[in-house]
Amino acid sequence: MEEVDGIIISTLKEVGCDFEDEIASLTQFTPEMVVEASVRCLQIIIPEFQSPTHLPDAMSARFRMCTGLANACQELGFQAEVGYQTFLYSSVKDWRKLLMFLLEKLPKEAAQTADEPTGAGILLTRSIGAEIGASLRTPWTPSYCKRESVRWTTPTNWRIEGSSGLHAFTASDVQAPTGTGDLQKKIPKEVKLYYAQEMPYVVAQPVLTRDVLSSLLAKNDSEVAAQQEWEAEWNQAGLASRLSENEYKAKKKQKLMKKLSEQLRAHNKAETSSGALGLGADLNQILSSFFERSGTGHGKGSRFQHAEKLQFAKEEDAPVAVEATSEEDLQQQREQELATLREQLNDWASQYEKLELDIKKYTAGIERMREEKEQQELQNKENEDAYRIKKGTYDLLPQADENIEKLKGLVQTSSDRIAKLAKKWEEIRGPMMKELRELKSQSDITEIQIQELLQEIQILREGMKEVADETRLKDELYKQLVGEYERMTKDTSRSAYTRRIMEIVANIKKQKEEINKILTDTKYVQKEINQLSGKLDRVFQVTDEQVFKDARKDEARRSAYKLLASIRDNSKQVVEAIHEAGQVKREQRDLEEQIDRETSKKVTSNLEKINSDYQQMKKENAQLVAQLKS
Amino acid sequence: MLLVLTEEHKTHLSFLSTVDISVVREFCRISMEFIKNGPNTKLYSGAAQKLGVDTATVRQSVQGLMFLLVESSKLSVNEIDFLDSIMILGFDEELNKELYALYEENSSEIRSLLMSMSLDLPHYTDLEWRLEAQLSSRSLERQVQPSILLRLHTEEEGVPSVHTIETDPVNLIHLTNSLETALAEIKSQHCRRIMRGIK
Amino acid sequence: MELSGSTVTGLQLAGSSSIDDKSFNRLTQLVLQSIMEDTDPSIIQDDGKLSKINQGMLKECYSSLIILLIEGARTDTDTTGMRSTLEDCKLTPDRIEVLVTLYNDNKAKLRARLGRIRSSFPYLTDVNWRLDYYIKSNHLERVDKPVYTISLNTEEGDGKKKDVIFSCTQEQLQDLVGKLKDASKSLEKFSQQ
Repeated sequence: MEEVDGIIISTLKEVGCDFEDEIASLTQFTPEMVVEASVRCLQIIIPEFQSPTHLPDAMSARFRMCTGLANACQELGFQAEVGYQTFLYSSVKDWRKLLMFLLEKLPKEAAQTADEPTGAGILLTRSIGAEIGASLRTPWTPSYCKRESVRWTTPTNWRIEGSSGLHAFTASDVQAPTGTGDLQKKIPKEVKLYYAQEMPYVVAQPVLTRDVLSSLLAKNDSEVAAQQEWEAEWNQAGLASRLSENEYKAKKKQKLMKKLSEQLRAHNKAETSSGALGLGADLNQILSSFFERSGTGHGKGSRFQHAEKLQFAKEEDAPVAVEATSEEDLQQQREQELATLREQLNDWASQYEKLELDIKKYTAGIERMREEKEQQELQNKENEDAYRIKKGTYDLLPQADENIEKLKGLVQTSSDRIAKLAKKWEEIRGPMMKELRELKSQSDITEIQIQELLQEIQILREGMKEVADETRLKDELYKQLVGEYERMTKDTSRSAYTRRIMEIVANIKKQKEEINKILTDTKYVQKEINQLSGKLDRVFQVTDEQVFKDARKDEARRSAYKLLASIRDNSKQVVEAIHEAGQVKREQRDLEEQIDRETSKKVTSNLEKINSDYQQMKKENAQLVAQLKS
Repeated sequence: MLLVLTEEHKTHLSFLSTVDISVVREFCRISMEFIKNGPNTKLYSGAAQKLGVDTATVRQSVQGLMFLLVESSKLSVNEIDFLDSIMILGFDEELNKELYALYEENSSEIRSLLMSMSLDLPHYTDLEWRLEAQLSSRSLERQVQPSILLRLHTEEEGVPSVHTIETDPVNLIHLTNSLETALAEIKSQHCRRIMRGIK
Repeated sequence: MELSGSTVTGLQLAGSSSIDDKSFNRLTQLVLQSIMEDTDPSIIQDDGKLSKINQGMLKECYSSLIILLIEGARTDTDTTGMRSTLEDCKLTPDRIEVLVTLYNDNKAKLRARLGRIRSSFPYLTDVNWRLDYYIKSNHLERVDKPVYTISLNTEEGDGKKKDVIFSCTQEQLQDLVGKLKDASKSLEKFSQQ
């Protein structure tokens, strides 16, 4: 029992009971201590349970409190009988039973929470709960006591309470110099000067200063995103194209431009075929005409300005004369003047346009003439060549035969030469072709090798990414586990428990051995008894037979036989008496045990205590009655 | 509190004493109808023809009856006061009882009608709430900011409006406690004394 | 936390010998100050200790350091993460130490500053109430009912304030208080989970 008591007491101490060190067994417990222990356990098992931890002085209050405790225990499912007497006037055994029941309820709860898989969801719920709990414990403060709506509960813990200091995430474009420290990258002098003198600091760039942080976060985000996008593309398509980064970019740009213009052209064609705009020209023409138009527009504007200037100048020229006329007249006059001037201007403008058109027509004409001239010159040259050949043949005509012979000879020699050259060519060509073939096959091999290498690179890059992802995941897991571990370190009594359990197991083993020893002893004794009684029976039978045989012969022997029978009866009685004595002794021991048990319940002392408590209660009641009356 | 009836009102009502009690009952029904749904001139002429009197007389007496009901409901007079007030009209006992029965039957309805006519402030109709926690935002990852979203429904002149309000646990508890104090204030001695005094 | 290439080069520049130790320390202080308060850029421009340094370089370091601190605070990076990021940027150990301590000492403040970048509904901060006794009106006498006028003080961001005013009878207030109590109770229950 001592081990059990030891465990109970140490657990109770962990729960928060304030026991002295020398208490090692429940026999040393007082009702006060039992009450304290049960209250502490109940408070942990049922969080809402509320009761003082110490017995009050007044008797009736004691009674009420203990009844409350007993009810709570029963609600928890305590099987045995429990009432206020269990706490106040009970034996160690009942207390042990009760406390063991309560402690059994305790660790189970703790184990359940410990066994829960601490997944991210539960951790999150818990942290939200903790945050809410913390905010429920802090007192309310009016909003003007908080700086920018932020409430600092500790130097590192803050909460948003209000929205007057809040503002939305609005990002604007911000620029900062890059690469000013890089000596390898040449930055144009003008740009450098701009960076140093003109470019405003990033904090001065957004319209509202409070948007600086959001703008900078957005800048970093977009740059990181662009970088990732580029890397992904480079991994996928860039490496396979086997170009350098810059070349790849240039090519991509070209492709994009081409696609763009194609799209535009196609769209334009569709429009012209549908005739929606009635523009028959192609994109270039539209664009060029657009530019031209805007150009002439500009011209008009400038001329208009010029005209205005003139007008003002005129007015300035004759201010004195005009002064005499009334304001209205002046206005009218001015308007008239303006109208005429505008008309003039329009005339001039249309004239100018017409002239411009003419110029265009003439320049087109010049162009056409020039082309015609070139064509004719080409024709001229051809004609001249033809004339020269024809003239040669005419010269050869008078001595035809001779010349034919000569020509034949010439043809012969030249054909000979061609054959020779062909032979030589064959000679040179053979090895060259061979070499070419070899080189080709070699290049094929290298091609394959490159392909393989590229694939390897791609695989490596993917592997790199995977490894990086894995490290990040592992890092997070590690952090989570560290947090969990920190939360778990409170659980130190485990080793103490196991040690105690081991001790108990060893003790039980010892006890078992002793029990076994006693069992074999009793068995041995039983055997002996059996043997002896058997022997007795047998001896008697033998003597009986022998004496009986002789009994017929002699009177004295007959009496001897009778005596034998009586001896036998007597001895039988003796044996039975011994048996009975043994039984009585056993009963006696039982009774003694029972007496011990009863005395251990301290009935008399309890009775006395109950009596005195009863008296006290009576006194209290009387006092209360007196108070009430007075 | 006694009703003060004008002479004109009295003459309008005096017609009722000349007719049968069942006619008065019918008139009462018509005047309640009037209060609820507005006048019905057809009924007047029908009744006038039946009784052989002027339509105007019928109309006046119905209106007089109605005014009597409204006025007494407005002041919420008790039985004795009501009977005392109409005593001046010199009706017989039975008619007086009939009128009081009518008044008693309809006064609460008339009062609620009158109540709905009086000026209306935006008043509370319902509240919904939900608990949330902000866990991350574009500018701040990994945060835990519990907040409560309240949706307050109010109504003014039959036009409902909705206010969506955000707050945190501390302010919510403060709000709850403040309003609880306000609610408890009505049971305070000061308030009770004043209410008793006014009644 | 992830930093863009331009930010990393800016940090490398801040860690290079182009900027001496004294200026570096001063610059970090100014960076912190301009995150926490809305500062005028002229305080950097006109700072005596920094006047020797090329303004272009200063601007690059300045923006990169701001991004470093706020990006770290935003992602809740711990000191080891911060240190390794700075080591990747090849800063000298003592400069890393300066930045890490600065970050660690002010992390909560930085996070609170970033937490203020947030949109919100009208935010309840206080409540005022008034108890009237409705005696009579032009339409009705002897009404004799208590009427509460409740004004919810709310904030709308940027320091704007607005009150939600409504009236309610005793029963309506009872309903309102009951619902609010439900909410408060559920908060308590949740916190004890």
